[in-house]
Amino acid sequence: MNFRFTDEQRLVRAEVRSLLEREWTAADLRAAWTSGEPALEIRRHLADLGVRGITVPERLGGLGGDDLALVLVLEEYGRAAVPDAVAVETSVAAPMLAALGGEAADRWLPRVASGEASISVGLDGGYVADADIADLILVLDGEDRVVVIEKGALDAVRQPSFDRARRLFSIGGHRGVRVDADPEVVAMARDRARFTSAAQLLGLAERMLDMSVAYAKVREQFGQPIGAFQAIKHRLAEAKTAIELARPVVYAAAWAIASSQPDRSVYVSLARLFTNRAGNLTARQALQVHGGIGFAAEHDLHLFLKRAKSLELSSGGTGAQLRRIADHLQV
Amino acid sequence: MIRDLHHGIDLSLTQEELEFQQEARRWLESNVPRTPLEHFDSKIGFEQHRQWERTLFDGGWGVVGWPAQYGGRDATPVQSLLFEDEYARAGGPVRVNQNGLAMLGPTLMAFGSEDQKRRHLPRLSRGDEVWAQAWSEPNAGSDLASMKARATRDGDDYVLQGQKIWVSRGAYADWMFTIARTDPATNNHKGLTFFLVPTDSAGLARRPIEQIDGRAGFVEVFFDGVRVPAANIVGGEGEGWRVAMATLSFERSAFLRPPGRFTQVAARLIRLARQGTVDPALREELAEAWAFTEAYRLLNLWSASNGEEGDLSPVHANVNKLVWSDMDIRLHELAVRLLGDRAELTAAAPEAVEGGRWMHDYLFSLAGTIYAGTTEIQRNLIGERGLGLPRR
Repeated sequence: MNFRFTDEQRLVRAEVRSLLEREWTAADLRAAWTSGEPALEIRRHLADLGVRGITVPERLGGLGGDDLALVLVLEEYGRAAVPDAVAVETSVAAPMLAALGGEAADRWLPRVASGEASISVGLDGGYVADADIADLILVLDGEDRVVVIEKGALDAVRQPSFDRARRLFSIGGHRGVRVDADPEVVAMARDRARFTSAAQLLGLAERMLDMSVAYAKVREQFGQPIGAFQAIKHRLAEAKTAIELARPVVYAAAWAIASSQPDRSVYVSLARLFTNRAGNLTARQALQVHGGIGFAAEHDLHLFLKRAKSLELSSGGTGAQLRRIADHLQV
Repeated sequence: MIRDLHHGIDLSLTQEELEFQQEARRWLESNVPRTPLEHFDSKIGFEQHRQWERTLFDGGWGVVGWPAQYGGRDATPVQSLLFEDEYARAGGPVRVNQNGLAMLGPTLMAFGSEDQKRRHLPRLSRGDEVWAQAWSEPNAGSDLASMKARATRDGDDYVLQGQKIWVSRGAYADWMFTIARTDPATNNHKGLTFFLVPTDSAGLARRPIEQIDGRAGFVEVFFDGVRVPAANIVGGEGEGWRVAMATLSFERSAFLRPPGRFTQVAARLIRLARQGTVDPALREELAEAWAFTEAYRLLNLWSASNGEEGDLSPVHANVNKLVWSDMDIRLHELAVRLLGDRAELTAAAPEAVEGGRWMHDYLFSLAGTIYAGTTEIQRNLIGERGLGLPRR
C-alpha cells in the first residue's frame, strides 16, 4: 500500500502552479469574465507545458498518463480557477475519445496534445462548456451510445452562467454521428466528470482559504489583526480541516478510477461529497471573514466562490452522491 | 516538459501486507476472549484487561509498531493501521494501558534516560505497569501551562504538592506520568518538569469521580508531600513542556482512535438501520455518517504513507482529532435517533437494544471534543501553526 505521490508528480504540480501564477492570474480570470471570450491563450501555454496531452496515449503524441498523473494538475486548475472546460478536456473527453478509438481519435487526439484542437463532452443533458470553439464534442446518449459532433455541425445556444468564465451552451439540433460504445466507457466518463469537479473543488477551496488567511492577517479591527480573534481563527481552522479531510479522498478516487476498482463510483461519490463540503464551507467562511469587501464585485473572492458553487451543484450535487452511497450500503 | 508520470499510489495491499493482515486475523480470532471482559473501571475488570495485555504481548501483538528491541515488530505505519483494523474487527478489548502504550512509551523512547527505557518499556508493553496521565488541574484545563502543582528538590528526591484531576484509568493504574512546577518563579510553560510517579507512593491519594455515562472512569489525585527520585524526571528539569507537547502529538495521532474502531461502529449502525424501515431523510444521514468513516480511514492511510518530507500537513494530528471526535458523535447521535424511545433503555430494561450500549457510547462520544485537547484548542493550533494566523 502506497499513498504517496511520486516526486515527478509533485514536480508537475509545481510547474503547473508556477505557470498559472504567471499566466492565469485573478486579473486574467477577471478579463475573461469581462470579455466573454474563450481563454485560448492559457490553453496554448498549457499545451506547451505538455499537460493538455497528459491523458493522450503516447502513440498519439501524448504522455499516456492516467488519473493519478492528472489529479494534482486538476487541483491546480481549480486553485487558479482555469475555465473548467480545460480540465474536462484532459480528464474526461480525451480518455473517452481514446477509449472509443477509431479515426476520430487518431485525427483529433494528437492535435489536442499539441494544442491545435480542443474537444469537449456533453453529459446527460448537461451544458457543454466552450461548445462554440470545440473541434469535436462527445455527447453521451444513453448507456451505450455516444454522439460525435464535429465543429460546425451543431446549434449551440449560449446559456450565460453566473460564473461568466464558464461559457456554457446547450446543444440544440446537430448533425453528429451516433456510435455504439462499451457501457464501461460511458460509465467511466460519468465517473470522471464527477471526479474532475471534485479535484478542482479541492484546489478552489485551498485558494479561497489562502485568500482569507492573508486577509485575516492584515485586516485590523479593535486594534489587532482579525485573524487573532478566535471567532475568525476557528472559522478558518474549520475550513482547513474540511480541506485536509477531502484531500486523501480525492486522491483515492483518482486511484480507484485509474485502476478500475469495482467500487470506483463510490470512491468518486465520496470525493464529491467531501469536496462539496470543503468547497461550500470554505466559501462561506471566506466571505464572512472578508466581510463587506468580499461581497463587492471588485474583489476577486467571488470569482472563485462562484466557480466552487457551480462545480458543487454539477452532476446532481451532494444529494445525488449521498443517494448513491446509500444504495451501495443497501439502507 | 513533463516525462515520467508512472503512478506511485496504490491502495491495494502488498503480498507482505496481506500476509501480515492474515497473521493478525488468525491470531486474534483464536485469542480474543469469547466472553467480554468486565469493564476496566472495576478492580476485577482492570486485572482481566491487564491479563489480556500480557496475552497480546506474549503473542507478539502488544506493540506492533514499536522497534523489535522493545518487544515490537517494527511494523510500518500502514501495518499498524491494518492491525488496528483487525483488532476492531475481532472485537478486541479496550487497551487498558493505552496511555502508557500510545503516549508514555513513545515519549520515553524520545526523551527517556537509558535506565528509564530499560526499566519501564518492557513492563509497560506487557501490562505489568499500567499508566495514567495526571496533567489537568482544577484550575488548569485548556490553559494547562498555568498548572500549580509544585515539585521541590530535597536531596536526591523531589517533593510533590498539589492536585490533579480527570485522570483516566487513575483508580487502578500502577504509575502516573505527571507534570509539576519546579521553578516557583514561573507561572507559564517555563519551569515545568515531567515526572514518573508510582501510585502507591506515600502521600498520594485518589478520589474517584463518577462520569455522566455512569462509570467511575477518572479520579482526582492529591499529592501531599509525595517523594519522587530525581531519576524519575523525563527530559530534564524545566523541560516538562517540551516533553509534554511531544507526548500530546503521539496522543493525537492515529493510535488513540484508529479508523477500524469507527468502521465497526458504522457497520453496527447500518445493521441497526436495516432492521427497521429507515426514514428517507435519515437514509442520507446514514450514508454521510458512513462516508465519514471511509474518509477518516483514507486520512489515516494518507498520514501513514506521507512522512514529514511527503505531503503531510503540519497540523495533521489536530485535524485527525477534530475529525474523529465530530464523527463519533455523528455516528452515535444517528443511532440513538434511529432507536427513538428505546434509546434510553439501560441494560436493566427487558426491551433494551444491545444492552443500552448505543446511549452509553453516545454519552461517551460527547467527551471526545473535550479530552485530549478540546476542539477549541485544536482549532487554535490549526489556525496558528497550520495557517500562520497571529496569536491573541
